Amino acid sequence: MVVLVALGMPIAYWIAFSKWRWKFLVEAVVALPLVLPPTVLGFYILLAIGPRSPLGKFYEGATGSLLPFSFAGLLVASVLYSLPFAVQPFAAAFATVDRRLVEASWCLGASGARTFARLIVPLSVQGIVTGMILSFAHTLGEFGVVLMVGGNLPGVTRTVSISIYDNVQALNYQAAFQTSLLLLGVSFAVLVVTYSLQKTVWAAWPAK
Amino acid sequence: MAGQIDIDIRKRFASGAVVEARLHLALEPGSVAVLFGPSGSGKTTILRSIAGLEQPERGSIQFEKETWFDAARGVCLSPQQRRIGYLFQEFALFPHLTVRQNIEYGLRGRPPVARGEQAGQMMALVEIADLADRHPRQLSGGQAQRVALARALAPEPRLLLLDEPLASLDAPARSRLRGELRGLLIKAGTPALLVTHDRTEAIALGDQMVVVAGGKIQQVGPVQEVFSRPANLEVARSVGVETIVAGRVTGISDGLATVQVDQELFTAVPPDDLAECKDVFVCFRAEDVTLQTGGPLKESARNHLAGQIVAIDSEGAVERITLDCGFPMVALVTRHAREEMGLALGAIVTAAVKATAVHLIPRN
Repeated sequence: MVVLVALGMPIAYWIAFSKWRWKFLVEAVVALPLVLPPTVLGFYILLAIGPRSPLGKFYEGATGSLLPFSFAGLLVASVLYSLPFAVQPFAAAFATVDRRLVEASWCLGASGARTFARLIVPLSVQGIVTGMILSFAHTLGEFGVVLMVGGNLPGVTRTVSISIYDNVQALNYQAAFQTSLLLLGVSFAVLVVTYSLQKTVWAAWPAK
Repeated sequence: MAGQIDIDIRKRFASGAVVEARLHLALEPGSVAVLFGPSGSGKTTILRSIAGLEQPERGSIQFEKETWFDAARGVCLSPQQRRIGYLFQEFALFPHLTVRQNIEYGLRGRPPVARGEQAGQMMALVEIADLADRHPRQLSGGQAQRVALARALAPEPRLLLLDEPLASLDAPARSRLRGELRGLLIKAGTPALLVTHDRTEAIALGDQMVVVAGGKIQQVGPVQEVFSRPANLEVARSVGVETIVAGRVTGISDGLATVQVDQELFTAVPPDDLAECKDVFVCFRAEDVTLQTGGPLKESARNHLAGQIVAIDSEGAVERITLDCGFPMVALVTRHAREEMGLALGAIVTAAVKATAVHLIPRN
């Protein structure tokens, strides 16, 4: 979650304000996990962070352990997978901040970073909250990527959705039903909070 | 300190429009130079280039011998480095901050006490101390403008840039604030460069005037001079000279030129560079035309033309009367005077214009 925000904000800022003509390529790459089958993404991530890849070797050398089938590996995968859910609301919120306000801030001597912290973030609170909730909810429910990268080690990389799958496979419908209901409830609650927040925020804080 | 600004820039837009500006202006403290021109003439582009919000393709911008932009040497200072104040058309106040926080926004780097003092002084200057804790959405247009001005002036900029500062206000607030803004700018003592397309605003606020039309700077000079002696046809049109007709100089003697327009002869004080027998435009303002009924009288005005009234447009107490003298000609007359003279559509009147009010522009 923290990683998602830390990574998503700069990317979203760049997407919202860059005038680079090949920007759409980066946008497409960031949005890729939305359309790609999770297994495909998981497979590539597995290759990328596996012990034979440069990244995997580096991590192994630095920490002495392997990335795949560990919690850290799972984190990398789920961050990549959920990135569009954070970046897109962020970027949309940043883009709605009036360009003139940003310019006014610059003309008052505020640097780009300060303008971002004092002006753009406060004015995009709603989009940032939305992005955080959506990406968090999405992380909860992911399945394919996690299975590919994390495996299914109880207590380490077993996520809620995988445990449901396991229970169904084992014909343990009672447990599957309970966990599914839990997941359904949480997802619904998250979306309810997101949408209600969008209304109240606007009502309390009219953009003028 | 006097601010000397030297601009020589060129910018091409995707639409194909080109803005090319060459300008050298000395800005006295508290004085206002007006960039005047119709919308789309490129004046805002020039202002934004000076602020560093837009980057021209070619040329250079210098302020007080300091290079702000030089395309050839790859220099382009950021808006932050230029230490300017910029007043946006819609004021661009930060909606999540109070008035006081808005004004203190540009004062980072000063100790909190000094920041508070400076903000207090600025609020006192523009007389908004009682609004300190309000949010921008709770302000009227006029109040928002004062806050924006205080915010722009608080960091003590070397140059204040104003983009159509009155355009987003409604008409009554605009006319009230025109005079006030001038007073505030003088009080603040910061040299200012202001963009407007409104003639009244240019006259009320400006000391010097830069006329921009068609992406080029057409004339630079004191406001009154630009209005009474436009350098070319485009300037004459954009400063609103009502009567502009083509004529031919038939003779110059005793420092006066005789110009034939249609069947009529005009006497005018010629500009220094006017050669004999040259095609010119004859220009004069509607307020310099007086109307008489009955034949021409003996009086000081040198030009008398008979014409028929073809249109009367009311502008409140003043009426704009269009005459047909073989060419269209406009006079400004008070409604009272028109009623007293019994002028109506179709009436034949004599229009009188002083030779000194007739301005000649060479025509190529």
